[in-house]
Amino acid sequence: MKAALLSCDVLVVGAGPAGLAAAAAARECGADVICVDLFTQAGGQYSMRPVVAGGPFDHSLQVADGRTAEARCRELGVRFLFDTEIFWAEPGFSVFARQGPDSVTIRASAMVVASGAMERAIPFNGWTLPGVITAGAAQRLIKANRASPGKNVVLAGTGPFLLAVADTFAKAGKHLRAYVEMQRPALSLFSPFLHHPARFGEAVGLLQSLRRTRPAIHMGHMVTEALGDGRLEAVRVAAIGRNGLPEKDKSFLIENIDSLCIGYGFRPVIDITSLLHAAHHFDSSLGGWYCAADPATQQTDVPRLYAAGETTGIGGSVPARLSGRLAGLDAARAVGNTVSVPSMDGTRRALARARDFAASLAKLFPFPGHLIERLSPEEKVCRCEDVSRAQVEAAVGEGAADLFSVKMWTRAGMGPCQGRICGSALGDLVAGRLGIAAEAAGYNRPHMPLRPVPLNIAEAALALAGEPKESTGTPA
Amino acid sequence: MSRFVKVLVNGEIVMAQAGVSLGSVLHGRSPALRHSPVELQPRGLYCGMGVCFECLVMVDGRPERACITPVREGMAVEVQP
Amino acid sequence: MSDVLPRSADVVIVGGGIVGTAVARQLAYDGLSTVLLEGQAFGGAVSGASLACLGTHMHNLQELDVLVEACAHWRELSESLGDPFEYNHSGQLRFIMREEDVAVARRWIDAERAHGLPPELLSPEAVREREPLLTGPIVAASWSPGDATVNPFLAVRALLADGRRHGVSAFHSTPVTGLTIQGDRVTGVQTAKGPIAVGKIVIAAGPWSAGLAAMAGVNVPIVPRQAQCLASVRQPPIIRTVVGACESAGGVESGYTQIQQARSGQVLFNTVVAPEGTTPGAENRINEVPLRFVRDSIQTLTTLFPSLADILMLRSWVRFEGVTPDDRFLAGKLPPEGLYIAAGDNGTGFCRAPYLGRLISRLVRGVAAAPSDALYDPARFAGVSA
Repeated sequence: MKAALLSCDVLVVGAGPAGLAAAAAARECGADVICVDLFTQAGGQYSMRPVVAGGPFDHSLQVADGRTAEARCRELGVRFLFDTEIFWAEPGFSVFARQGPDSVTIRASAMVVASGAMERAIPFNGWTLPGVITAGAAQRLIKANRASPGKNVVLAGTGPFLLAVADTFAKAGKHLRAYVEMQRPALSLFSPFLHHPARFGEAVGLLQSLRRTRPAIHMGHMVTEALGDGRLEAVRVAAIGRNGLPEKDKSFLIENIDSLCIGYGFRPVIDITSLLHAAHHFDSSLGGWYCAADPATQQTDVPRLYAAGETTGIGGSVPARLSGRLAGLDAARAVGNTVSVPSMDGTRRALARARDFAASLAKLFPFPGHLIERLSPEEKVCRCEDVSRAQVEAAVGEGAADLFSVKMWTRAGMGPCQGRICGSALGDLVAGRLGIAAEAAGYNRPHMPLRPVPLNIAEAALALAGEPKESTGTPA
Repeated sequence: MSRFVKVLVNGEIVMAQAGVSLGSVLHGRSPALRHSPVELQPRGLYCGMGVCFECLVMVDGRPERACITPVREGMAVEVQP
Repeated sequence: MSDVLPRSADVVIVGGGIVGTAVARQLAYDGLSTVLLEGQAFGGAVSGASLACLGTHMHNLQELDVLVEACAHWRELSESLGDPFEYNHSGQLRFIMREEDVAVARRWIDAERAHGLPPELLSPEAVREREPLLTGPIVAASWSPGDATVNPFLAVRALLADGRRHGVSAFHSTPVTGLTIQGDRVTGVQTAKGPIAVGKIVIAAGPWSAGLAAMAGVNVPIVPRQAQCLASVRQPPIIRTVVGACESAGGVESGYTQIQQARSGQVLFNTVVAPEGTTPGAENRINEVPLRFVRDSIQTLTTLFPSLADILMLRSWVRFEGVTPDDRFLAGKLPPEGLYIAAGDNGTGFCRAPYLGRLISRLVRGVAAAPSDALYDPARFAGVSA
């Protein structure tokens, strides 16, 4: 195992649209930039690149955008570190990470956190069966790996991202057995385009793609249950009544399937910004807890700590790129480079517009957090530790005061995902039982390590906490 | 032209395109990858982005998340089908 | 759980950790109407963050009778309540890294054997028979076969549930904001949810106890001390015993280590590295674990257990202990009349909780004290007399 110590002016976390824009902008102004990402190549979720050439995504618009952005960064001299997972950060900034089988410690004068989003999961009956995957996972299987989630696939959930996933299936020449969206078809779904007609073409293209996958389309429906013996075999689908809940007598089975790809939207990945004590706010339409940043500069309330893209609230790739650019420019300025103000003003106006479009879209697909109440008592809330809803409720009944107590008494959220998958649903469930607001049930504060990390890698990275300059070597 | 690598899954040779995620290879073979720790329920790939740890399998004797691990020539993988 | 506080009670216990919960349960068993008030979450502070080792080895020799009784009591609780808190009769190894510490270990072993307990000194080979992966450079270890561990969260939960079955009224998220004193007697507590008229109050608030006693104008010598824990991702069974550092010539000031594997499979390790004293009030903040500590802890663990070098670390946390000048609990009467305290765990207090429950119940009911009760009398410190 090797232990590297690197330093830079601006460290960008995440090589998706926001991170690449930030890295290029900061470097253009003369800052020395390192950009790190968990995956083995740049692009993030949006511009995810096929790892095997020769498929239908090689020249897609999204992939081309990502390639261009990365090429621009490389041309400018941004240093990339892939397969790099940050497990701790200290103010000022020192960042400790695993890089492949090695450790890396990075010093930076400014940081742009563009760590993206993760699925906002809602546990439902049967959700732990093999074959049930998130919509994001489906996209990655097809786009990046030229693999398939299954032969008979149901795509379900709510939100515009489902259409993007259907588009991925269509481009790969794959069919869908069914497309299940909670919202009913309505003219109001087109309202965001009244103020943003330029985006209308995108929507039409996505709908055409959906048709090409030849699915049975069930709008105003939801998957209430996944069924199977040891692996997914069927799903139960029900119409949603006026109360927002599925109607039992209007349900049916879709059988002989091997894959359910399900997504209810995303939530910001805020572990690094939380760790560094930036202010965070709660807004369900932005994905729940998000990092608050100055819209003019993307700086958080911690000096020289910037946040961009989904970390500052779910909004998609356009605001991600624009906010990344702003963050990169201002971070470069903060570390002593000259930045021309006009270039920032135009970007700010465009960002405000893109955020407005994202917000109007988000309103049409509200996050159905209340569905957690549909979970059977014996079904798992916490997948890592096999903790059922009944166990969670028993703990609350015996005097558990908040999420933390429930965790202590049941181990819900104590497994390797560190509560990332179940935390949001668990918060809703516990808050419901205690009669308090979800955000009051407890905020999962980050602890060392942010992600599980091998002991020897942690030790090697932390050993360089006090070292003065760059080095690469084998730890003593 | 893509290159292929040989991966051993529970001792059985599986050919995979170089660079793809181990998770995509295993999921295509069978969606059940491991058992949950308490009730030993079958589990498989779920989030596909390194967060949920449901695809944690033993790779050359170490636990790795299959979804973020590219396949390598000769890697020996243990799954609990 | 009702949210409405009773207007009056025989006794109010302030603090819902393992000590407060054990005291409340005992008082209810002994027939008193008992209210337990916790400012935040039951077992959420000192107790929940501890590694809950129950043992007699290398503690204060004066307390051996108490520890023997307390260990037996825990075993009985586990049996009578149906193993609700993962009681694990693991035994405890105290590893020795330096030849000069062997003599220290021998002195402890001789003293404990003189008391009828069975500790012994093991060679490195004999250690590996008990703990096969402990292959690090130790020169010997002491072995105390009677020691055990429990899951601290579940222990609080089980004692709380059993206490409530026997009549304890328990309230979380209910901080005590004042003590009412008339003349030289306590007559009530004020809380965020209203007052309770009560003639007897037990402070069992760990490192926060000094602040509560101050509400009655009493200074008690309990200060916070920061300790840290790390946990791994679930592992197959690899560590069988509790592995602790031998109390060396430098005493616990030279650093204290405890390593064990929970029933969940997580490897837990705990170290006190900042015994020089923690700023008063630090216990009220959520502290981050110092980087140096994480590195040192990993080094200690992987020096002792080299084959664990690449297991995944899952979590670290800071905990606070309530420290007294002589490393013993304060348990007994405080002035004014009707005020009692049971606090000052000194980092290894978990084991004594059921004993303290009985001690406080004896005092509250005015029955004869046990011989060891005097060890904990707060009056041993000048200015703290009832």
